[in-house]
Amino acid sequence: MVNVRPDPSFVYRICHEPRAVFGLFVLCVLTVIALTAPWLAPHDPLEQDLLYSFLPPTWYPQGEGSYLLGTDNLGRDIISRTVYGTRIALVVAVVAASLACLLGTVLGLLAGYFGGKVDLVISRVVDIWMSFPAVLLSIVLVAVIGAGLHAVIIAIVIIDWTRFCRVVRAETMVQKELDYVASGVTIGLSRIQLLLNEILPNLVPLLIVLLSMEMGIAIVVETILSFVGLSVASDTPSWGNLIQEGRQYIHQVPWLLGLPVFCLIFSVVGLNALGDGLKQVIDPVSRR
Amino acid sequence: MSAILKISQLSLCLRYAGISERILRGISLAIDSGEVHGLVGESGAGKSILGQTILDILPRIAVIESGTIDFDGQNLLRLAPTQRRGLLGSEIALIPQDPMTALNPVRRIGQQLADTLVLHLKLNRKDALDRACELLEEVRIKHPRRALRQYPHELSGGMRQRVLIAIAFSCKPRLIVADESTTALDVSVQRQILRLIRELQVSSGTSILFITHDLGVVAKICDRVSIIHSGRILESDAVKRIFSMPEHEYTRALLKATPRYDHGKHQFRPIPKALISTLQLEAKEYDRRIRDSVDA
Repeated sequence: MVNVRPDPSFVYRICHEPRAVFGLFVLCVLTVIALTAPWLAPHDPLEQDLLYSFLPPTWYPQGEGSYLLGTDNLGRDIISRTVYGTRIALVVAVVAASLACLLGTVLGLLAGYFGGKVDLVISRVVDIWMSFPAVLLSIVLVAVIGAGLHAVIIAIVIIDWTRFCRVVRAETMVQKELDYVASGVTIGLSRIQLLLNEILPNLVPLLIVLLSMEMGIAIVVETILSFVGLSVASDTPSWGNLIQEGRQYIHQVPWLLGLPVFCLIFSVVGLNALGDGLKQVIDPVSRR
Repeated sequence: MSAILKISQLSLCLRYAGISERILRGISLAIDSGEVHGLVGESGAGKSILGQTILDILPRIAVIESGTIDFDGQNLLRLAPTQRRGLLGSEIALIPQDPMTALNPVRRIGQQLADTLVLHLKLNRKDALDRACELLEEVRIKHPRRALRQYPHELSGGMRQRVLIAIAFSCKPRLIVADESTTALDVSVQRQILRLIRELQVSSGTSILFITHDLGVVAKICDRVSIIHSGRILESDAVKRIFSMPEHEYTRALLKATPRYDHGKHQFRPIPKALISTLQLEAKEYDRRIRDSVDA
């Protein structure tokens, strides 16, 4: 009929964007590891065995067969601890990024659509917010709320909603001037309906991109807070805790750091690539 | 016949950064029920702004200075925003200029059609989609079921304009503002669309304010026509009379400036510069009178 040149399907385009494929692969790997941690981990991550402390990886002469990448100062298995650490990293990434997205999007929509005083107040708050150094602010926040995973999540949301707010505000201002919004007015839609039914669906591609990048950022922030001892309890396996323990013995047993640092880099690079790749796939301007 | 829309002494200006420019200068216009009323003028004459005033989609910098717009006995400019919104889509609708941008790119055609029906006719989503399918049939879209599930970019310009026409007629409004509705289409599609609008208009008895700069389109579809320049209505009469015995000098010049294939090439004459400057002077004179009367 009139379907002159159909766009290649979304899935097809994603499959032909290497960064997006890599990013999705990383996300899938992390998810699978987090979900199957009890089966995947060869040992209980909390099980101590002081006879086997500081075992080197298994291919070293003193290595032990069942501790593939060695053990830490208390004889706990490095692989198992890192595998369980993935759970914490992923929970923080998904929950904190989604909540930050939600808060930032709501405020950004309001600021961009209503403009005037609403915009003035929200934008100034964002400006002030962004002028704080993020890590310092998060440490202060966690210190105030109290350590723990929920505190880390709250801190990330409170700090990073501004990223979403700014971008959503700008895009809303662009979208609301377009003809289809005026058409919406002329069929009698209320302002809330215009905002939620007409403008918001046009922001979804943007939000997906921001969200995947924010997940990477959230993982880094959680690791930093773990590292300084403000996240989960210090015996709980999280990447930040592992890195911080490894740092203490870096001269004697450098392999303690290897796996958690690799996981951190792998996941952050993967999530950033996912964001970049999706942007490439979704945004018609950069696609050309 | 009674007038469904009566605009009287409507003046409007755009104000930005302390500069004020008057766009509409005491517009008076009446549209009878069941009539197609053409509004013809050059770019910048104020015709689109007039349509936007009726539909309440004026740009923020526009300020209405004076005048009334009576629709069905109530002054639109005095209505509360919620009341006025209630009229839009149900009693007053728009067929927009550019079908490429007037539909939301990320929502399916069916959803966008259903919006109006759910909002004004209080149908549930499922009934609304069934009704939307019928509406698409009425505007001669060949595979309405399929079109309901398609996105705007999958349809051609003509098809999208049909969808927009379906949306405009969906709640049987009493007035439709068609703002350059066929300008963005090529000539053959334009003819089909005009015929379609005329048919739907006749069967529903809706009045249409047809904004255009094309006298050929006016001749095809309108019952009466008003000529607008510099925000003033120069002449308003039945189409036949305007074409056979134009009273205003500008109307005559406009008719002569329209190229017609059955006339020789030499018949085509641009509008004389002197006439344009006279009209602009008259507009300035109007502004001066208003200023004096305010000062006095």
